[in-house]
Amino acid sequence: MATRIGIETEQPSDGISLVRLSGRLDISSAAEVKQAFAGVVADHRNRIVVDLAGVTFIDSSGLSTLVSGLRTARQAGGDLRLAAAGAQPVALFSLTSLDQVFRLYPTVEEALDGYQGK
Amino acid sequence: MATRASDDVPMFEDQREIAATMDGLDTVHRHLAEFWLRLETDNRIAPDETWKVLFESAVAEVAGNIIRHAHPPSVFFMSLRAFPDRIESVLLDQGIPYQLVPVRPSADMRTALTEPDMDHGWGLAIAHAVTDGIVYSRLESGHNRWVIEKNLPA
Repeated sequence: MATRIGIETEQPSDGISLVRLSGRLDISSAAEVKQAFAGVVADHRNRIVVDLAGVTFIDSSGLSTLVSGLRTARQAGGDLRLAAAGAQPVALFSLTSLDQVFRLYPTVEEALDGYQGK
Repeated sequence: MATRASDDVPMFEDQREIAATMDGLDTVHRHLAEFWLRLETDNRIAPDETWKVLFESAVAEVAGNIIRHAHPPSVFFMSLRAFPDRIESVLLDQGIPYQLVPVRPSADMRTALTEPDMDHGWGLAIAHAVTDGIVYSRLESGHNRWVIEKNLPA
């Protein structure tokens, strides 16, 4: 199966993961992303920032994946925050009221600063 | 909500046969992108980006459901139709009949999406919320038929 989403992980500082996604976060890529979240949490980098700048489309499976990642991170004592979401993801966050579940940041830098108490 | 699905003759229609696989989802998005382009070029209709991505969300949710329930190798048919007042998509597949759960209001979606044992079905709730009508019917031919419609901005 062709890869439909790009996933890059970085460790900007101790305990923090930056997960950059690009492409479609939907039924075709949800499992791969869920695995990536599980991997960084298992690595004790459970304060996660997800960079959505490159995500062009998200569906209900993608939303569920983000919620699953949030739950996994919080169970490990961390959190999962979203940054730089585009128009279509933001519309669905609002529609589903998930914008009240996640912390949404305009930029990755602001999300990272949030973890560092700036 | 009933659609007008309709005896109207569309100004423009484009139908594709699409593999009921994850690769088929790529075709769904490509089909939509090409449709928007032709709609603007040939028919001078250009809904804004938000309108288009919401319609695309609904179509992708229904197509995802079809693919999820398909037994490959199989295909489904997807039409996109432009009318003066709305855009429609009609999807036909030969899968088993759907047992649809009642669509809950969007206020319940957050709860459902955050339940640990969340099941599928919420995609259709999203699809309903972003369109002006979705009707599912089981045809005598053994096809499932989905009609999705969204009114064009006034």
